[in-house]
Amino acid sequence: MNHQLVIENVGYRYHTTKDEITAIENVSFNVDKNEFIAIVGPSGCGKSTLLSLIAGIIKPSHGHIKINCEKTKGNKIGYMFQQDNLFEWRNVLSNIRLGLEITHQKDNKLALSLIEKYGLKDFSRKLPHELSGGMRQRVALIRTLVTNPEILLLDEPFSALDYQTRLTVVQDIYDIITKEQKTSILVTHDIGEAVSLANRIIVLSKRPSKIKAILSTNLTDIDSIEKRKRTFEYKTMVDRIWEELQD
Amino acid sequence: MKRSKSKICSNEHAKFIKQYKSKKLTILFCQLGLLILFICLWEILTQTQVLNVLIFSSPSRIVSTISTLYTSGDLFYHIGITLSETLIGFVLGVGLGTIVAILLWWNESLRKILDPYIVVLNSLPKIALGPIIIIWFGAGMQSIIVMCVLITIVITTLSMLNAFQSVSNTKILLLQSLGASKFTILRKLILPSSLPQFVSVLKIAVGMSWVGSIMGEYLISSAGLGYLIVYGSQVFQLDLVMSSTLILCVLASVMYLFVALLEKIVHRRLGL
Ligand SMILES: Nc1ncnc2c1ncn2[C@@H]1O[C@H](COP(=O)(O)OP(=O)(O)OP(=O)(O)O)[C@@H](O)[C@H]1O
Ligand SMILES: [Mg+2]
Repeated sequence: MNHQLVIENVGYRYHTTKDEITAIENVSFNVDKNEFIAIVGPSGCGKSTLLSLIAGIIKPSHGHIKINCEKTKGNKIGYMFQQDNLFEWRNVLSNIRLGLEITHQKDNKLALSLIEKYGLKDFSRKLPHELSGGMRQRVALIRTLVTNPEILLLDEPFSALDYQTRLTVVQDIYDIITKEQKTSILVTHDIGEAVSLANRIIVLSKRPSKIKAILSTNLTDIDSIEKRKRTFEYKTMVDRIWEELQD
Repeated sequence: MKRSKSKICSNEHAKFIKQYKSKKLTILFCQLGLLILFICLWEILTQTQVLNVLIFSSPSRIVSTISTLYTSGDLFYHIGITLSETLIGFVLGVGLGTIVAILLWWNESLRKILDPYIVVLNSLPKIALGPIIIIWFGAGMQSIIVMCVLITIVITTLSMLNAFQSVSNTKILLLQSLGASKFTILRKLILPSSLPQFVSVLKIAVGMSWVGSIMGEYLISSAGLGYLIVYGSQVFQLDLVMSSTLILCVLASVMYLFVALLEKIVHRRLGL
């Protein structure tokens, strides 16, 4: 069977003058098309490093990463961060077009249709500081989608939002991702968020990170994230991951 | 019911605005009053010979000196010279300083190699280099411009490099994940996001370059407002000294106001 993303025996070490930090050690897992994967693990264990490896920004110290059986190269990846990283001097439309400019794509069609589809049309001339936090995160997502990536990497994209906004924004972003049928890898330290969004959850250990457990859920059949959180399976899963992270 | 409530609110607000405006007006009034008081006192004290008019000059004599300078055509000649030195020095200093900052941002090794030299150059009082500059560039306008450049370039380089390096790492990561080259990162991210700092550098550099040009003219003295000040003090013509200083004051303020306006525009545009 061909997996969309194959991570095999990957390890990564940071070198500083003081010492060598093994951020990741022997991590292997596969991701299939349209899966929603969540990665949880203690703070500083190497989650962001793992995403940078998948994005091809850094090269693994050992092991290899393949997307559709090829070595990783930028364009197939869309990266989203905790900060929306919108460029304050560009308006919404031109922020969204950023990826197209960098990759020298002339075609505006996808950008315009996404803007239309996800209700940003009235805002397209506005500057980021005129938008709410949730709206900014939506713009950031659309910007990521515009280059038509196959895999979305989400590094704690909701953690900078306040609790109220977060509830709606999570559903909003999640709906867009499923509608656009993107494979997603979400890093979060909110276990509830991981369980309610993902169909598989990868639990990492303390540094050097190894995979402690990979757990599957069946919650994705339920549309509403809030409803998922009220199920029994949700609660047992959260408890289980909690325990995994304890020792 | 609802309406009356909102009316109360707006009444209160109107009151607040009124208070705010009257406070602002009072401040403006005091500022102007202080200036007028100062000028009047100066004039009266020199007229009544409490202060020696030869040492302190006087507002009326300053006015007549300036009008003589104007009718003889000297006024705009000297202003033109000092202004062009200052502007050329300012533009070159800020331009070159920014280019150096870009090079240093681009190449980490270069940054490390040049670091101690920049620190020394930054702490050195640039005026100390005056005599050397005059020997190298001649006793003319070039030397004065070099002086301006020297004074503004280091601060520009340091501030801009600082701005470049403080650009958020995840924004760089974002561009890298899209496969952007270093040049693209510079052009699309580093330079535009350093615009606010650039404008505040302009604000500092504009003052600095006046220091450079006037200092230069003190040393070399052939023409310009600085020359008039030095010349006036040598021949004990305090009227000329005071007039030139006053003109300088006005010019420097106007130039500063321009930059401050630019800053306001940039900030408004970016919602800072
Ligand atoms: N550029 C770097 N140089 C040296 N060490 C680094 C570098 N980047 C990260 N590290 C170290 O590698 C480890 C993993 O970092 P990483 O950012 O991947 O962790 P994380 O799981 O994303 O943490 P967090 O939960 O805080 O986001 C950390 O201990 C960190 O100190
Ligand atoms: Mg992280």
